[in-house]
Amino acid sequence: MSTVVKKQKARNPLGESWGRRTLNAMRAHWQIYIIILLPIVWYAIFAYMPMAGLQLAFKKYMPRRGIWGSPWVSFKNFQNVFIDPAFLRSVWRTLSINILRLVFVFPFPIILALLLNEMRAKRYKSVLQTVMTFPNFLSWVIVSSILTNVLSADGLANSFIRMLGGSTVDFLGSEKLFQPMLYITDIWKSSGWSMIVYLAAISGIDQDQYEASEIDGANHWQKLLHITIPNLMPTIIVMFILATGNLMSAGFDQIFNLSNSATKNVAEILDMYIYRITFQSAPDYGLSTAISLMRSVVNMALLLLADRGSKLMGGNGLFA
Amino acid sequence: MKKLLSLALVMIMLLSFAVSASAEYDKHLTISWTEVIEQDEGNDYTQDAIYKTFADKFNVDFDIRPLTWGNWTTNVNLYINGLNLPDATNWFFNYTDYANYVEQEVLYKLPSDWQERWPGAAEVYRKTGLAGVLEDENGDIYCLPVPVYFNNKPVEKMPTHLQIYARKDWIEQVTGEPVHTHYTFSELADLCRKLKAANPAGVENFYPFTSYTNMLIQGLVYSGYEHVSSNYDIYLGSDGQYHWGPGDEQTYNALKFVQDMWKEGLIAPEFYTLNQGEDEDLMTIAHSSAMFYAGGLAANYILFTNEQLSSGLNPDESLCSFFVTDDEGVYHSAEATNYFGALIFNPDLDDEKFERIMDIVEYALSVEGQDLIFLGVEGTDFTKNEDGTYNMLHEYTTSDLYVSNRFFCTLAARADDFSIINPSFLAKATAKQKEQYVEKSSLIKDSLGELDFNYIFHTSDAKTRLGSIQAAYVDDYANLITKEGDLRANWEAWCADKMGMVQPVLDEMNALIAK
Repeated sequence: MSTVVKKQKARNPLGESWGRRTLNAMRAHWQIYIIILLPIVWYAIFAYMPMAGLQLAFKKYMPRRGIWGSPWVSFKNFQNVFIDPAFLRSVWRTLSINILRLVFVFPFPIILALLLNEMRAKRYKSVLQTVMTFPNFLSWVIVSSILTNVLSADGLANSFIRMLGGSTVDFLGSEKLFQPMLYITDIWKSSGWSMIVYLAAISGIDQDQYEASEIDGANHWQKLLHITIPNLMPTIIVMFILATGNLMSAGFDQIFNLSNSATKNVAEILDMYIYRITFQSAPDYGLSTAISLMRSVVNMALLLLADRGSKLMGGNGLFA
Repeated sequence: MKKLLSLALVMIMLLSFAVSASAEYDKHLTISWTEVIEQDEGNDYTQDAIYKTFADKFNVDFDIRPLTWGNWTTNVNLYINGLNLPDATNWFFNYTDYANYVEQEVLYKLPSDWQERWPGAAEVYRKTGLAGVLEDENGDIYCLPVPVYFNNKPVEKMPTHLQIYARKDWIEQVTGEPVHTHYTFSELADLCRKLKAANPAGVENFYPFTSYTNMLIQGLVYSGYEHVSSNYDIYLGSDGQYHWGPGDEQTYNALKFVQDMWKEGLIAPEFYTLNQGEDEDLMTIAHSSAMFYAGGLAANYILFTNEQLSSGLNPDESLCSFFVTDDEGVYHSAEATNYFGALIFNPDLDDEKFERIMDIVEYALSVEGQDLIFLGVEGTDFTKNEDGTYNMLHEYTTSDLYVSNRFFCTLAARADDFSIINPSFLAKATAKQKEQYVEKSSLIKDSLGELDFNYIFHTSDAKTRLGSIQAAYVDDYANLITKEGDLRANWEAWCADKMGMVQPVLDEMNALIAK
């Protein structure tokens, strides 16, 4: 194709170039462009510019020389990562905790939303919704101190168990009970909040579908199975894909606050490992960045995998 | 006429003071200073006489940035790596980090003639044990170790000061004899058993021994073997080879002893959930425990005495302290360093400010400075006799009267040194501080894990990596104690797991001594 034809293609019938048209459009709608500029600047400063720091994964960080001036060390930081067996254990532990979190915790807000949607007493429903949302606003520091008091040997739970004739249960120091405790507390704290997304999706379902099904004689269960859940599916899939993309990084606040030396063997997830090697001994920013980079790459791979899986099963993905 | 004369005299005095002050320190400086301040509580340190004396004498103001024990190491490391160090910072010194930071040029280099210019500070530096080993190939140093003892060192080679504080009345009640100055491990277990059976507190959940994780491990496990803690874990054995202490049988025995006590219900079952201070509260305030581990300093003894008093007890009858030996009566301990932390300075500090800081340090280490910091204002709080002894003019301690004491008491040196002779302290407490060092030393038979500077000052990638597992020793030992299953199998698995990180360091050290 000749240059003349290319130029012609880039012009509209009025003879204006693409650049001029864009400029004219920006002039005409400058308010909208100003609004969109803010998030673009935010992303550029806080999300993309810090990525330059990822080069530390391949450098020996020297504060005096800064990130750009520190010497390159090739893949030495990555080699060092694999020398410590605690690293690989923390990776598998992170994956296992978060996969089980997907199995046990992820469905809860969906179930809650479906149940709440079926409630007819509107006032009671809104009270219940508020009560269930409230724990989300408590920090894990608060939740863990409450739990420590409730679940300790002299706490409420054990007093109740002893009152019923049982013997004291070591809730706080048991390695076997640690992960179930994570899932239960996560469900208690976050389900109410996550439920809001699904409730919003349910409220957006076309009411004509329900009316039509009623005319056809469908009962509550059939409406749930054949209208509500299928309409909710795209939201569930998007939330699932997002959760999958976080498999390697979720849960630091919770585990950091709920774990102790008795449960450390089942609690050291990747974030805890990074925290330990970064802050509890001489900080090695190159090593920490190398681990963080690996984690991000795995998270991205999982995200793409979940997205691809969703599309293969006929659902919608995150990316077109 | 008299009034005019008085006025003239006052004017002359003020002028002479102003001239002398301006001659030495004509420029007012604000010095930012970071250190751990216990019981900070957002205090204003700038209003009392101790602060004003320092501020006027050196024409400075202090921008005090207090840290807690919990965030001390982390924050200072972040300040260093972020090139954001305050002018002076008390940093948790360790040689691996020091060498690393010196190489990275993030610490201020002291001038080569500093020892001549500040002879008092230089003399104290020589007493820390680090003189001659901190210097680089040019003889330069980049930090000033904060001394523990420099005028009143109780013994030549110091063991740890940690000891057990206990309910004296309960122990005497169940044993029928006066409290000992030390018990063997078996005697301690028996004592706890008797206390558990008698339950002198009369509460449902009474546990004879309660300490939070760090103190329990540092107290009981470290008393079982001198090579279990970091810096003392890699040691030169009698065979001329380097070994790893946590993998030695003695470590297993120490862990086994604590685990047996814990399983028997003699130690609080959930010690791992306790925070610092909660353990002592259980004995001194809640009265549901009979003993706990804590630092053996006079100030601690006074603190617990006061807590006993406030809960209606007579501390003379209800408070005692002792330590634990092995069943042969031998005391095991790592040698305590005669420094705790080090002063480091912003690498871009100007010379004038550095010199002012060093003048302050020099004064704080002098007899006059120590008197001011720990006893208050001469003539108001104390007087001094010609023989150097003191007369206190009231019954209060300096920290009761001057909140800035909390900042100055660790500014250039630890408070341990003056505690030994502090006349404002309870005489029993100061005596206890000294006696326990002397007695522990007398019971050490080749069981002091001595500082091996060849190892401490060795730097390599392998040693840096080892640092991450050493930092977790306390938690790992606690985990082994509470872990289900056979302790020996668990301990052996733990050792095997760590050997991948330990062996390269052992190989390096053995190669070094082979040269």
